[in-house]
Amino acid sequence: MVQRELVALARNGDREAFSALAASVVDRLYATAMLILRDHSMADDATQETIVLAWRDLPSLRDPDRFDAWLRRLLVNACRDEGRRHRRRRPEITLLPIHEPVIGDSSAELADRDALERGFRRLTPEHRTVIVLHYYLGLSLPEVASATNAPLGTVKSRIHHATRALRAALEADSRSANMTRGGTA
Amino acid sequence: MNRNDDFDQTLSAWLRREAPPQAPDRVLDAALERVAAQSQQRGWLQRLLGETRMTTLLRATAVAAVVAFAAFIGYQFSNLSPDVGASPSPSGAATPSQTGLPSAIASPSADPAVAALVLRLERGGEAGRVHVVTVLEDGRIITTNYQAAIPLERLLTAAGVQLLRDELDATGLTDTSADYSPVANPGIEPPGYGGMGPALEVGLSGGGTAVITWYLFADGPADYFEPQPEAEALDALAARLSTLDEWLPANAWADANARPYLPARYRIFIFSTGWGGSLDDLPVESATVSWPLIDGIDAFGAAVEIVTQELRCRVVSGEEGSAVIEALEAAGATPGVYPSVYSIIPGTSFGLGDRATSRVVTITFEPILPHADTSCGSELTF
Repeated sequence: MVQRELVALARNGDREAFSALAASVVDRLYATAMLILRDHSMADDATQETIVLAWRDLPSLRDPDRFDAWLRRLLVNACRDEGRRHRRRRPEITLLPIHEPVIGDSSAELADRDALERGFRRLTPEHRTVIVLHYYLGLSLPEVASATNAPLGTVKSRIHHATRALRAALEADSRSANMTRGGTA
Repeated sequence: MNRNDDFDQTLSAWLRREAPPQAPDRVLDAALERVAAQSQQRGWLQRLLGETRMTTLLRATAVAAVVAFAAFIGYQFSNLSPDVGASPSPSGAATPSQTGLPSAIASPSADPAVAALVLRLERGGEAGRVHVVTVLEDGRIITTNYQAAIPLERLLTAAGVQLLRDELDATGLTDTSADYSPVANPGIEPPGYGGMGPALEVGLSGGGTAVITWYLFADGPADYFEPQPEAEALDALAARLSTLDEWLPANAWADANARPYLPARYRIFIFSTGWGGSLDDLPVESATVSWPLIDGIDAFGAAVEIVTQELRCRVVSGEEGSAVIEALEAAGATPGVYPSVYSIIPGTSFGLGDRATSRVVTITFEPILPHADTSCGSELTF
């Protein structure tokens, strides 16, 4: 059954259809939440919250073809709320490394990954959100604006700021590596 | 390939690597466990008719109640075709539906004269605003409670209405229209926030109304937005207005017994879409309906701009709506859940089939509350 049919059935209260629908989107939701929040527990909560809200509010979704966009908005809001809740509980979000390096990565790639990780960690959740939506999910900037309920200008500004910070992290890492090589030559 | 492309690709590749390939099982399991205990938030009749676990008897009773209260109105309007006006119910007494079940409504609120508005509260939400309570100067109070099936009407005493006015006045925020959206702190780039906040419309003593909207940014810390004392006060007021049973004294009620709200107007939506199933499963044939309004089904209403679907809408009187419902029932159409482009419409839907074109036509009746918007389409935006 295609997603549109599942959405239509779930919208009318079919729990089985909703379960199938949720199973088909949970991995993508979780991955997105994990990238934005960088915390397993918070990503768990945000994903769960998104699914529960999706069920509760699905009758309000007028066009089943907009399910994905609608769900993204729910997820972004859930991540935002989760981030705020956590900020109140803890002074700083603990950022955990998600994956061990893949065997075969070159040292340059590993260096890039470390630099990106450091740069990404320093971004605000709002900046991480636009980066994830644009560079991971491949959304256009207007789509990012819709998902975050922010003006397009704000989204462009956030993307600009975030990518500049990440570039700076990469370049600083590169300079550092060059200096190290130069110093040992 | 330039530097920008290189950077974009590097960043995209890094994000793809960082993203966990799948969610732990516990995430979906826990979410579905919560879903199992959570009901959907839907319009009143859709809720009444669409609950999958509703028994056939309950469903039939619910349908009978809906049709019975719609049939209360017997007067005909000028644009009804002559054959429909043949059997009015001038006494306003309940007309039994074809199901033969007695009316579930003892004393409907059929008075079409609408008293001045005291207040109308709509709560906010991700998909727009939803009606909570309307209070009229004559003491009528209409509530939409999503735990109940349909909008309900009760009656306050003059003292009860005054108590509510006192609640409004106590905030000092309801004399003039205002919007209390969050204001970002200087130098802070605030996050976006989705959906809409609540809205409160208040009738003014000099005539007219004030519309107050707000959005309380829930997290409290002032790192993004300035403090929101007005929004907090309005949220507290909205909570009071949403829980009148908990604090209004008994003498505030002239009649605390709730009865179904009988609308003076309906918004009728007609939605036509292809039928994917067997023609045998199509509902009753459209051509068999003796459509009572001058505009036939095919020409009824104006197109509403929404996605790419064919959706038409028109606002009719309660009497006209009743006549159409009777005509549909007479043709054997039954209320139920049929394809709809806009499932939040809190009304009853009838399905009609068109076997020649393999299409199903859904006709939805949304009761319009007093002082509510009577246009078509204004709420049909995502």
